[in-house]
Amino acid sequence: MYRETLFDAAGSLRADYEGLDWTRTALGAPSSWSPALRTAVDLTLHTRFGVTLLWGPEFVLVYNEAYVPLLADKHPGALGRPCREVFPEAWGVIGPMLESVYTGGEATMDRDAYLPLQRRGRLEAAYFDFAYSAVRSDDGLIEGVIDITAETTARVVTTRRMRTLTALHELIARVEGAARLRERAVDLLREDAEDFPSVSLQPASGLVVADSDAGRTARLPVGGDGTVLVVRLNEQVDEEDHLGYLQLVAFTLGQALDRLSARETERDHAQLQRLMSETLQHSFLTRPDGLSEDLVATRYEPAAELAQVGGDWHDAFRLPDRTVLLTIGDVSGHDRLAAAAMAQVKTMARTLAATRADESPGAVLRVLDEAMQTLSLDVFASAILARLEPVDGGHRLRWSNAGHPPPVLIGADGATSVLERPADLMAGVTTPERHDHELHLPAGSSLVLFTDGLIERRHVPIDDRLDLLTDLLRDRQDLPAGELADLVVERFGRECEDDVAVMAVSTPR
Amino acid sequence: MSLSHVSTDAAEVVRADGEIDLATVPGLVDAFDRAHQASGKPVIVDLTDVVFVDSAVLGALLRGSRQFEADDRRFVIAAGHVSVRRTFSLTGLETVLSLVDTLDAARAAVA
Repeated sequence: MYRETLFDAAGSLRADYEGLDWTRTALGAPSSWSPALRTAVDLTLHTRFGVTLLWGPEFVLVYNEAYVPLLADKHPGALGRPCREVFPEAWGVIGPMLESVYTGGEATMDRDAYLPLQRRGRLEAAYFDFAYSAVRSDDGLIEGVIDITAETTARVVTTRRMRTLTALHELIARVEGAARLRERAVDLLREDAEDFPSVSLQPASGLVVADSDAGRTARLPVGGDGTVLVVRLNEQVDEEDHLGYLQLVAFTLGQALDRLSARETERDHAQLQRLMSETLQHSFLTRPDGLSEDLVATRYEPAAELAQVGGDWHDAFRLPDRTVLLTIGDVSGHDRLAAAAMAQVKTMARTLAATRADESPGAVLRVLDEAMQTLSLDVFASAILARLEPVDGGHRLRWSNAGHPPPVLIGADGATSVLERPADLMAGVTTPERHDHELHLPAGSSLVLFTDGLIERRHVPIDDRLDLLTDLLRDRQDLPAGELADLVVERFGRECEDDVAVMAVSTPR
Repeated sequence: MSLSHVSTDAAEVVRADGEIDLATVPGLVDAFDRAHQASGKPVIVDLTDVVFVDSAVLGALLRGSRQFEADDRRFVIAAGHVSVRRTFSLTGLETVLSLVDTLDAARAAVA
């Protein structure tokens, strides 16, 4: 009997593929599919990025595992269904784009496109990077469209909130007077219509006197925290006089409460700020995209002391040609602004490294220097940018170091060495000379990159700490990256005065 | 940690000792501002008795050097402690700052 093998690569979707009665879809039985469709489905199922086909004049959906999170509860119903029925809410935008590509127009590519989707029981604001291209048969006829997509909602939303929050901090720092702050703050918040569709600051109401079943009652605000003094009025006492007296009591009590809670508030505020900075920072320290934990692992340990939140970051991703790009860095300062600046510098470094893939790490750092100057970021960042390119017998490591602690290499034979070269200056200061370094890493070598918190100790020379680290890493060449990173954090990264970011990279044997 | 600013005939001298870290930065920036306004003389940053610098301080030193060099005033740092010098070499600061080992060498450099 004929067994369809095309869906063997569907992973967790295999049951859905095999369970669907394709003869009831516009595509018909898989055995009858055109060679172009079969090739496209095979390619889709073997792709780790989110991909869907939109096939035929009705744009029928055939997608892979990585596309399912985008669909949420539209899956599995979306499989084999026309696009217009799956995404009626987005059809007004994507319909014309699909028609255009299908009728021979140019391929499309959109970044952070706003496409609200009806998912999880509501219309969700959502953003996507997506590209439509035509899929043709051997004789050149367009049979369908392929959509390669990644949802960017989390990044777009976090960036937007970060921008608003940073602007709010800047406003608070420079505005004079409470009245002006109230007015400007509301204007500023209103600019983010997504998070503040309607916003106002309203004064707490003053004295209110009302009649109820319990009798005539006065409500008086006490202090600034919204507490209200509620008093039933005595009809036998002159009301105007009584209210004047109650206001004096409320005022006296309120002042004392405000004074006492100010100290507590300050403490809470510091904790909240730290939490906020950490949250923002963690939202930017994502897992390396598309790289297994055995190959590239990242760890982040916050400083032991409460008052410090760092600007450390790490980043790793793979280019289509299998080159892996690695960045680790540290923005100077430890407050919420350092965390915000870190996010900007990290994003710039990532974007520049990805879009200038044919340029050397040093050249990319030079552009980063210029960008930080142009944008007047007024922060300093140490950073290493590295490219790991697969070559015969291992990898070629190319890197440039902007004043950052040198990485430690574990050779395939277990010997360790510190990859120290004469350091170029930290980024963001001027536009200094940038040097590139290069090394062949035989298959099975590992690399550990870290920020200065790992080796900086007040009473221990840095070189002693580096020696301890190389001792720890010696003969660990067989550890997968995840275990290597854990080892470093366990033995070195606890109780640090500063934040610590660690990135371990193991090249396969 | 202590911090001082003294005007001498040859230079404005900003001196720190002990461990300088994030908490020291505002004081250091103030001292540079005072030295900047005090005269048009070169500046010596005397870190010869400093035994540890946190990376946060490096930014303040760089800003200081830019602040004075923008006015064509020499900005010389005297730092002899091995761990301080090591921090300067790791961060590439050696390549852009005028660094000497002793206060005498700093005086000679601005003479």
